[in-house]
Amino acid sequence: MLDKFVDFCVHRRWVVVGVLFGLTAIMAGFSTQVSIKTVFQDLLPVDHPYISTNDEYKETFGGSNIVSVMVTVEEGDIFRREILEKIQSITQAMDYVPAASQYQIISLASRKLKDIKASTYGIETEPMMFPDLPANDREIEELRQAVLSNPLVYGRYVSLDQKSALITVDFIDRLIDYEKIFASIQSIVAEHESPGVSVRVVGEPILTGWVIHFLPETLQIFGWTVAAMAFVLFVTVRTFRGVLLPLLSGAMSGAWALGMAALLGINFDPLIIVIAFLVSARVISHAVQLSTAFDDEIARGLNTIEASKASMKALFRPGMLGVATDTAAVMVVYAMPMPLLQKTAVIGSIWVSTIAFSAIILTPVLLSWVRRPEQVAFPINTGVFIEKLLNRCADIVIGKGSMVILVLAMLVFLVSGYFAFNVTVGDANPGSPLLWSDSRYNEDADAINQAFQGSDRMFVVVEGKEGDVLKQPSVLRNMENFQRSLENQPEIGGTVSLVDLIGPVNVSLHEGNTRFDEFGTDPNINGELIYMYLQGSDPGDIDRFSDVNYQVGAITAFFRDHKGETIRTAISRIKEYIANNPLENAEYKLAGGLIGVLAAVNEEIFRGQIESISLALLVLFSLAAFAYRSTVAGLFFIPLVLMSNAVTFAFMYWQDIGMNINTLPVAALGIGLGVDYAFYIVDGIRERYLENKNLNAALRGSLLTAGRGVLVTGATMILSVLLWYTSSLRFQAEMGLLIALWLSVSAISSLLLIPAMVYVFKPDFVFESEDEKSEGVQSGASV
Amino acid sequence: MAAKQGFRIKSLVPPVVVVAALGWLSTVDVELPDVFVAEQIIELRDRFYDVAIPDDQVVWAVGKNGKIVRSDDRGETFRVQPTPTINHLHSIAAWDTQTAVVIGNEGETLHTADGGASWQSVPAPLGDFAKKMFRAEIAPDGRVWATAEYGSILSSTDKGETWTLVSGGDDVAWNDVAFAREGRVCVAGEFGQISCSDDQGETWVAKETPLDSSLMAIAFNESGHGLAAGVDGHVISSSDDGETWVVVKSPTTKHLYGIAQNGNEWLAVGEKGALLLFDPVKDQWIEENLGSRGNVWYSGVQPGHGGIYLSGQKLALWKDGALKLFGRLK
Repeated sequence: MLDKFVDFCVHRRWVVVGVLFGLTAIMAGFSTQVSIKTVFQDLLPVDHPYISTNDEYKETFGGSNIVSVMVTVEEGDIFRREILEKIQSITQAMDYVPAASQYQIISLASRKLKDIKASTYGIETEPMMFPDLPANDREIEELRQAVLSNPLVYGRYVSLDQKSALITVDFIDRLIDYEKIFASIQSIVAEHESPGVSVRVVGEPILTGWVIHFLPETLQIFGWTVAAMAFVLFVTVRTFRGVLLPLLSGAMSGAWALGMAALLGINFDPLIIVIAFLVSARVISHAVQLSTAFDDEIARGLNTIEASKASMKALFRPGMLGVATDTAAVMVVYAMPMPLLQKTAVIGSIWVSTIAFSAIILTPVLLSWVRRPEQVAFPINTGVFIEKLLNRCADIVIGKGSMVILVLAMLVFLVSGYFAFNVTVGDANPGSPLLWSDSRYNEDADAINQAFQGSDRMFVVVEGKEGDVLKQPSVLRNMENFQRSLENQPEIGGTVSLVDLIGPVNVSLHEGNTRFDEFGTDPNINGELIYMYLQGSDPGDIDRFSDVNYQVGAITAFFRDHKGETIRTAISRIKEYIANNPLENAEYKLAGGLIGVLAAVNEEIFRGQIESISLALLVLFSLAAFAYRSTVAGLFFIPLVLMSNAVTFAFMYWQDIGMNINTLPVAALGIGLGVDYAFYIVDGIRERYLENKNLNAALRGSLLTAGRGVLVTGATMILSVLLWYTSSLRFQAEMGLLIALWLSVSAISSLLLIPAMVYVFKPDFVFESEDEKSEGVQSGASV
Repeated sequence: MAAKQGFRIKSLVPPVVVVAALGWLSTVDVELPDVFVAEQIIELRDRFYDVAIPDDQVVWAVGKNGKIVRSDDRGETFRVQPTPTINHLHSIAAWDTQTAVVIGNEGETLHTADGGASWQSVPAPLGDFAKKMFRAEIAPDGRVWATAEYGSILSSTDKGETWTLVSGGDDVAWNDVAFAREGRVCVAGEFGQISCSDDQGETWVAKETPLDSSLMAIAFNESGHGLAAGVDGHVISSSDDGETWVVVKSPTTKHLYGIAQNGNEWLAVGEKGALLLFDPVKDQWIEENLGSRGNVWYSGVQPGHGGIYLSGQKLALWKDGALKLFGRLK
């Protein structure tokens, strides 16, 4: 069956190549239409209760795309005409930022921030600095006094040291175009910065904007990586075909995958470019294996046609097994409820599966055209070094060295496994892990979080069963205690709710006597206090605290960071509080805003992590067991996968790389990643053993052929992937390191651990042909 | 045949076990490990309306939601004392480190004789309307006096175990009480009013003051010199045991909420970080700058431990020109 297929491919090579290239041309045409963009909704796990709460209430209580702009003066304070003018001008400019929600622009210069004054006529509330700026020094001083005595403004929109003012703006999620928002806000920033006055910005749209901003650089690095790969391949393989064929395979797979993405209408998130590289690395590694196998067949004296057939035949099983395992392992990611991950799973698995055509079929077929296979293009014979190294590996694993390898591997596994469990779910550091800590964005974020209560928000909804529930003293008291409990966590800079609005009105009503900073003991008093606050204001001014019926309100918490640990702690404490303090006639609903959304994402990732690993192992077990008709084979490769995962997670823990929506796809793809090297090595041992029944020769032979492919691709990928470390995006740099590590672990274990395991355990599936096995069944049964 | 079948079943065991194990593992719902956040003794949302310094070690502060904290080491460490109430507590008066009374909203009074290890609640006999009590002070004779809204004045001769309403029913909130010489008790309150009694509260005589805005605090020193302060930074003084009052030129327009005597000096605290030192001899005011973190309101002020304790939106010690905030800082 396989023989026939191989014969067909090689004899009808024009047809095969014609069809493959034709398809590639078509797919390449489609692939130009793939859109590279970030779609915010893609990041959110569908059907998660927090996301439902966020979707339902984000328009009023503030979603996860809030941008905070901070104006800071070096000398003096912000209460100067020219600074107040800047604040006003930025506030007004925000109206024109694309997708900005005009009702959610809040600053000293918006109508939302009000001064509460007691007068002979009762309580008057009027905007702090809207529509007009203070006209003279006296009015500026009045403004300052108004700010200082208003806890909803002082510390929240004007910093305690009076040197900074905050402007916050929320966006309408469905209209968001990150590139436009970023460009627009950056120009506002540039326009308003002046000597002695800095303008800093933080928020998800800005962060995404920065990522897009670095897209050209990312593509450039990608280009350099390809060039570096070509160079290393050329030096190690020494032939043009050895360089061009793997790159051609990579390009073909890329065209097919991107073409399919375009056809399926799947957008390509800029951060997923890493994945593209990861998969391309697999493609190239398979192509190199076939090239090396071809060279070996030539060395054994076959002609090009026979060599191409022989190499294709020999590597078909391990190659296809590797492709199938990788494809299935990538597909497992689809179980995650985030559309971004599902899209990555679809495109990733399509991409990996194209290896079957672009490398396993195409490479040997193209090799059949080689005219002078012995000729080399690179003058220095690097093969000698490679051979020496591989022989050294063989020396180690044949004999007692194999036990040493096993013990060492066990130690590495145990130590890294211990640390692997400490890997953070969510972000491991304050600031954004996508950018370096000295990036403008992270420095701005840090400055804003220092000056104010925290720029990342979470809202928890209080949903009443009937109107006016929020005026009930028992509900208000419960809410206040809830806020008190939240504020016990040091990373939460403060919280705000309707409770904080009622107190100051009551104080004003009592001549500024702070002993009245409290809500009333019956609902009517609270209704009156709120009514007084709203006198002369617009409907909607109370939106961020409550709906007009006082049935649904929000408690907003301000977080200084969005580390995984911070969010997990907050959510767990909130759940505990809610369980111990049930509301009368109302319930708390978690959780919206950036922190709420991240909490949902992290919960899914945490839950999904074990699930993905065990599913991927299941796939690996089933496929390997099926391919070799042996459950031992199914189990044989599992330690390798566990090992590379343990080492990688331990590395993530050591380097403070959190498991988040961006790193998860890389980690998930890595689950199946290490194993295809091992397939080639084991299959090489098996084929050779079945031929001459000499284990040591089989081990050495496999290491010198399949091992060469492993070493060459390993070195190529590792060296070129390190170029990613120069990226302005910390995420890409770290993922580069991670991939390099992954490849190193799997290369090293394929060259040492797997042969050692074969040597020590002598698994049946390696040493028995299919016929012998069925005989074994008979004889085993008769014993 | 049978042997063959037996083998088949046996050979199925390992794959079934592995598949089952991995399948089960994939459905395991992982519990997030428990998290621990140390509960803060002094929380961001706390408001301490009053502070008492009964000796050279103890700091006692009372505030919102029935909270009482105490330090036995000059504010190095605080602990929360259990109380039977969630009413806001507005004032504490301590005879010594063991015995004290606390008053608050809803006519709540608490007293302790064991340093606050246990607090006993006694409802104040406030009448139908008045609920909020503002200030408790201990007179030189050991009797404790408390002021409240609706003209209510109470006193207790048994360290807070029982209270007597000595005056009430007027539409004026008495914000503070103080003691001049020869047993005179004076209260200060809304509309610039001051009223004094020379017969332990039997009769009260309104004193004329040059103010019609609310007075929040009043105090006397041993030489009969009195000071009262209130909203908009108004300060008045008396040099005849509260008989007559004159306006003192004040350096601020910030509301002032508390007054205390510190040797020959007077201390006044209020909103927006106001801490004023007044030297009556030199007729000189000093306004301390508490810095941006201290820029909050204070209603209680007590000298002690070489500095000045401030209570209000924050609990703090002002010492040697530096502000030490207790509890969470920002």
